[in-house]
Parts: sequence; structure tokens; C-alpha cells
Amino acid sequence: MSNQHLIYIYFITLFLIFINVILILTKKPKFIKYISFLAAFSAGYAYFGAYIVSSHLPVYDKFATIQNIVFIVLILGLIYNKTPHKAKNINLLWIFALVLQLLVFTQKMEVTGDYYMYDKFYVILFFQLRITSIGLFVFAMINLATSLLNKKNSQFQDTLLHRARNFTILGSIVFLSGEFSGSYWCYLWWGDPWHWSKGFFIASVMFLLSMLSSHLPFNLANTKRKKTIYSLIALCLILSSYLLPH
Amino acid sequence: MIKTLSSMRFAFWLLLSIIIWFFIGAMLTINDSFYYAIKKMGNELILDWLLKNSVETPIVLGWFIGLCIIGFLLAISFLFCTWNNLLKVVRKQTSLKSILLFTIHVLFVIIMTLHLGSMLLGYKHSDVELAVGQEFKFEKGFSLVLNDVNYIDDINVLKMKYKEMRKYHTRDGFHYKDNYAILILKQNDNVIRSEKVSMLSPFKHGSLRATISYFYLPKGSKSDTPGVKLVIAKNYFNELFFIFYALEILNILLFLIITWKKE
Repeated sequence: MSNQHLIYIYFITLFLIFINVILILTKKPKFIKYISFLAAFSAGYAYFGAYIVSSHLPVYDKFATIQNIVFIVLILGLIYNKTPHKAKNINLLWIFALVLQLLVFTQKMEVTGDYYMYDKFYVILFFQLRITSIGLFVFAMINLATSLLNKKNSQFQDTLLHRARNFTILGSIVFLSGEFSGSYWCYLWWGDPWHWSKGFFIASVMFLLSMLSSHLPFNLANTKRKKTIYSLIALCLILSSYLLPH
Repeated sequence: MIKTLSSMRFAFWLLLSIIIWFFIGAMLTINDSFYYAIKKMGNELILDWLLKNSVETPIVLGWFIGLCIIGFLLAISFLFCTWNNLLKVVRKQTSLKSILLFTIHVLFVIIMTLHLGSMLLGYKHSDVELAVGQEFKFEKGFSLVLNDVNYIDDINVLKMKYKEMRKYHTRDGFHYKDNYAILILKQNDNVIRSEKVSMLSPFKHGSLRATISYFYLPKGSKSDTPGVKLVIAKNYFNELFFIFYALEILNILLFLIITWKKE
């Protein structure tokens, strides 16, 4: 397997996601389920392909990491979006997945080279947990955005908001666990668990943003809609912070 | 007053302020001179930086003072909110949820206090360059001597710039377990211990640690034996920091599990 193969797999995943978006927009749900499985399989294949080509799991190159995030989102989609033809669904997931997959286009289509430190479990764990947390935050975003579009069904809206809350906290836990691994790495390399750097500032911004939605004051977020919008903005900013080159 | 200090509104605006402040910090690092000034902050104990080098870059100093003010206000908000709101809830209706919410906040305050402690106590010396046979003296009569270096990889790579060098530090190009230095720790010229130190495997003596940042070729040296760049740090709080950090993660996880609820 080579980097060229990874590019082919990327386009296959993109194509499958695109087909599902078309099927959803044209309201033809018959094949969505099957294509969902194929797209998730293709994204999973890209994930393990990146491992085979670079001898390590995705770390920081956006080509492999964004596809890694898409893989996580699609797996969660398979779990939570079993009934795309019914009213209670989160079909918006496919549009988010498409946008993320298209973002890869703007990046260098190449996986990160070999580096001796990637031999260490805690180094890979640091990167992998951060990627996973972003996947969970994106899933929370999808639930928040879907709830904004489902004004009529209050019960379903509550389910979505509670799920978004759960996945935001889960994302924070996974993010913190990644930072724990990163701190250990830093401790062994630079003698301290953290040091003043752009990476530290951005990580702090990302974690604090994830905490923001659970600290919204009532006078600011006095309606469900306002609370959803503010939480969505915070999560969008986390994603942007991650995607910014640093 | 107490009501305001323990309010969610106060906590929210402080949280937002510190996010913006960290973002400004990240933006500062884009500029080369600020990047090096911020890097310098991490090269020594923050207290030493404040007393010796901070005046060289007033903007970074201003940013740091701003961060301290927001951090201080945030600590007040944390303490008041924990004491006035969360503890009251625990007393009124004791449940696992309320206890966990309370302990999450308490642990966060402990972690921040440990951060503060590590910024003020101990010492840190970065970029200490040692060639074989050289000695570095530091606090309380301690010194570290580089006794020997074993380097099996291509030393020409060490002549490159750091970023370029990294490309060659692959699993096959840099054997981190086989490249090592032998360090001797002395106190008032009495040998305390000697240890083999490699990348990501530091020298340890109590709360004193010496880590190799990287190997380098000493300038003007005719020998092919590289030297090492070290970070020597004494920090009393690191172990505690990791313990409380792990406890915090477990606490939030437990909180999430009991509040997950069936959809």
C-alpha cells in the first residue's frame, strides 16, 4: 500500500458520502443504510491504510486526521442514525461528513513521515485521543444543529440536546486524557508536564471552550434555542482551533 | 457581593476572558520575537523569568500579568461558587451527582494550585549544553557531569538545523535507545549517583530530573563525539499534578456515566 492508494480510498469515501447526501436531499432513503456501511468501511480502511503506509496511527497531518474524524462521525452515525427514512434522524451528519471530507482537499494529500518518538504509546495516544475528541465534538455539533432544525418535535429536540451535552462532556474527557498523555510526553522530554507555547495556548482554548456550554448563565441563554446556538458556536470554535495550522 | 462572585454569570465571563487571553497568547507566538520571548518563559521557573528577563519584552509581560489577573479572579469565582452553590447543594440533597460536581470543581482548584506551585518553587535550567567531560553547577552545590556519550547514528545529521534534522530522525535513522549519555550527579564534589540517560528516559534523583532535549555537535570540537542539551529541573509538584489530573478525569467520567440517562 502506498500514499497513492490512500488518495484513491479518500476519493471512494468522498464519493460514497456524496451519494448519501444526494439520496437524503432527494428523499430517497432506500439505499442510505447500505451506502452508510460502505462509507464507514471505506473511512475505516483509510484509517488503517494510513497506519500501514506511515507505520503509525494518524498524528497531526490533516490528510489522515480529518479522515480519522470522519470515520468516528460515520461510526457514531451508524449507531445513532439507524432510521434515516423516519422523522427522528440526524441526516445532517452526512452534510457535516461531506464538508469535513472536502476540507481534506485544501491540505497536503500525504501522511506524516516516520519519527522515532511515534514508537512510544503515550505519544500516539496523545494524538489519537485528541482526534477522537474532535470527532465526538463534531457529533455533538451535528446533534445541536439538527435540534435547531427540528423546532416542532420538542421531545426529539430534548433527546438531541441531551445527546449533544453527553458527547460534549465525553469529548472533553477524551481531550483531557489526550492532554494527560501529552503532559507525560512533555515531562519526559522537556522536564515539565507543560510549557508556554502556541500548542499549550490552543489546547487551553479548546478545553475551556468545551466547558463553556455547561457554564452558560441563565440571563444569557434563557431559551433552549439560545443555549443551542451558543453551544454550537463554542464547538465550531473548537473545530476551527483544531483545523488551524499550528 | 458574595452572590455576584459565586454567580454563573461571573464564571462565564471570566471563562470567556481567559479563552480570549489564551487566544491572544497564541496569536503573539506568530511573531518571531514574541515566539522566542514566550519560549524563554518556559526555559526557566516563571518566578525567575519575572525577576530577571520579563522586562526585556513588556508586551509578553503585560500579557502574562493580564493572565494572572484573570486567573486570580477565576480562582475566586471557583472558590465562591464551590463554597456557596455546590456545597449547599451537597448539604441539601446529598447525591452522587452533587458530590461529583463538587469534587470536580475542588480537584480543578487543586490542579491550578499545583500549577501555581510549580511556577514559583524549585528551579529549571534549559538548553544546558554539555560536551563529554564538562560539568554544570546549579543550586545547593549540585553539579552534573557528562561522563560519556554513546551515539551510533550518523553525526552529520546533527550539523543540520533542528527542523531539517527532524526529517532524519526516523525509527531507522535515530536509535533512541542505543544513543545515550552517562551523567554523574555530584553534590559538593561528592558523587551521588551515575545514570545512563537517553531520549525520553531522564535522569532522576528525588524531584530532580535531567532530560535530554537533543544531541548536538559541540562547536570547534575536533572529536566526533556529540554532546547533549539538557533540561535540569527540580519540581516538587509534578507527581501530585499527574495524580490529581487523573483523578479529575475519572471524576468527570463518573459524573458523565451517572448523568448519561437512557434516551
